[in-house]
Amino acid sequence: MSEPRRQNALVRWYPPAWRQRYGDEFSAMLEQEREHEAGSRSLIRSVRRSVDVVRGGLRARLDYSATFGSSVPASDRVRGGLGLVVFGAAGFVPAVVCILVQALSVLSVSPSALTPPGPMPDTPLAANGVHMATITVLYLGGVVGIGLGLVAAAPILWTATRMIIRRQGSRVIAPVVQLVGSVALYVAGITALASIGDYPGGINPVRSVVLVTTLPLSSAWLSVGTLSGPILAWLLISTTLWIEVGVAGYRLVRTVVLPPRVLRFEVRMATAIAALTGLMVVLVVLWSSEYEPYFYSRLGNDQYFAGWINETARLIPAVVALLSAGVMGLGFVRARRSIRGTQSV
Amino acid sequence: MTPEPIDLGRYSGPATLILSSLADGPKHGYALMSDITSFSGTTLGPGTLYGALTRLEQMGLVEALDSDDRRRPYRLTSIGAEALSSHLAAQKQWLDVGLRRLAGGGLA
Repeated sequence: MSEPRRQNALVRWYPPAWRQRYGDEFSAMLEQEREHEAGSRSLIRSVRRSVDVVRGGLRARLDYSATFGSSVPASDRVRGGLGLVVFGAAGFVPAVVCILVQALSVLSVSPSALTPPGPMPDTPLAANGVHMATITVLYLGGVVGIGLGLVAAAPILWTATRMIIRRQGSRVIAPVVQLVGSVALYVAGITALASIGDYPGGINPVRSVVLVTTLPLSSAWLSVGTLSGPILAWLLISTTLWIEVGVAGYRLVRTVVLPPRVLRFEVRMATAIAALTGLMVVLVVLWSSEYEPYFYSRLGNDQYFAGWINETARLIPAVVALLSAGVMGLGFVRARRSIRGTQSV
Repeated sequence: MTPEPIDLGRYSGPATLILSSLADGPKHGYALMSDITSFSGTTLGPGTLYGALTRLEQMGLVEALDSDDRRRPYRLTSIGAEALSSHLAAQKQWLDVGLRRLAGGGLA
């Protein structure tokens, strides 16, 4: 990307109201700085400067409501907050699925049938009531969360479809195509993996779903020889698809024009989803810190992974889950704060 | 007695530099950046500079002036001058204490 284009992209990262007030003079300063330093700027300095601009944009966004909130329509702020909730959910869902699959793997295997290269859990976790109860609550939470997500998504998708049919929403088409395309590729990946027969018994569709969902976040791929080429290739693609789904969801929510009544409904749904997410995060943290689940693989040979592979398998989804929950929380707070202003919209 | 310094918030470092730069006359963004580098040796990044400038304007310590081009100059307000004065006075007090203690044999 050329320097001017990168500069424009960086300035667009700032909140609209900030840009409206400072955007022109800020761009002028960046241009003047670039002209004065033409030919003498090093790559490191250029990167450092870009990081500084991005950090400034983040701070402007964090101060957004307090400082600039009044000049941006409340409904826009609500949609921005809801978009963040959707984006966070796209990261939170695979992370939690990954954690739950690890939990279930421990329960569904007979320790005597395994080849443990490292230390085994001292106590069979399946026998522990707290462990079972936690997993049960997490699974129920997952089911309820998906249900709430579908109910919340319905009015948005319905409105987007109507806007497209009535030719009122040309801006809606791009995120819809992005969303549908990502999901279609995701399903295609599941189908493709289900047809791979290089493991005993093949990979059934359910396992394929779990596999394509959890691969980017689990670290089974770090164990050399465990995964075949097609699965490793899918690993890279499916990571991108989750991000694509999140970005498409964010763009869609930002673009679709919803009446205040529906916006309030969406904020209520976001409240419920945020509360559920918080509960699940607390449970995962408590459970992980208490039981230190071992990552278990049934691909190829049944075995526990030990040491750093096991640690990474727990760490990656945990970090993604926490970051995603943070994004969801930020979006929820923003939507919640701004919804009062939509009474007059 | 030194007056109580105005809290410049989390941008106190850049804010002090900006206010000090504007103390000798209005400047626009790039001129501020260059002046600060020349008198302090510190190069403020564009994001940091405008983050602090935004906050200072919100606090009423600086104000934007009209301009014919895209570059908008800023100047110190009377409240800004007062804030800078009290802030620097407080810093001078800490500086004097530190130097006095060093001179008194604070080093091993």
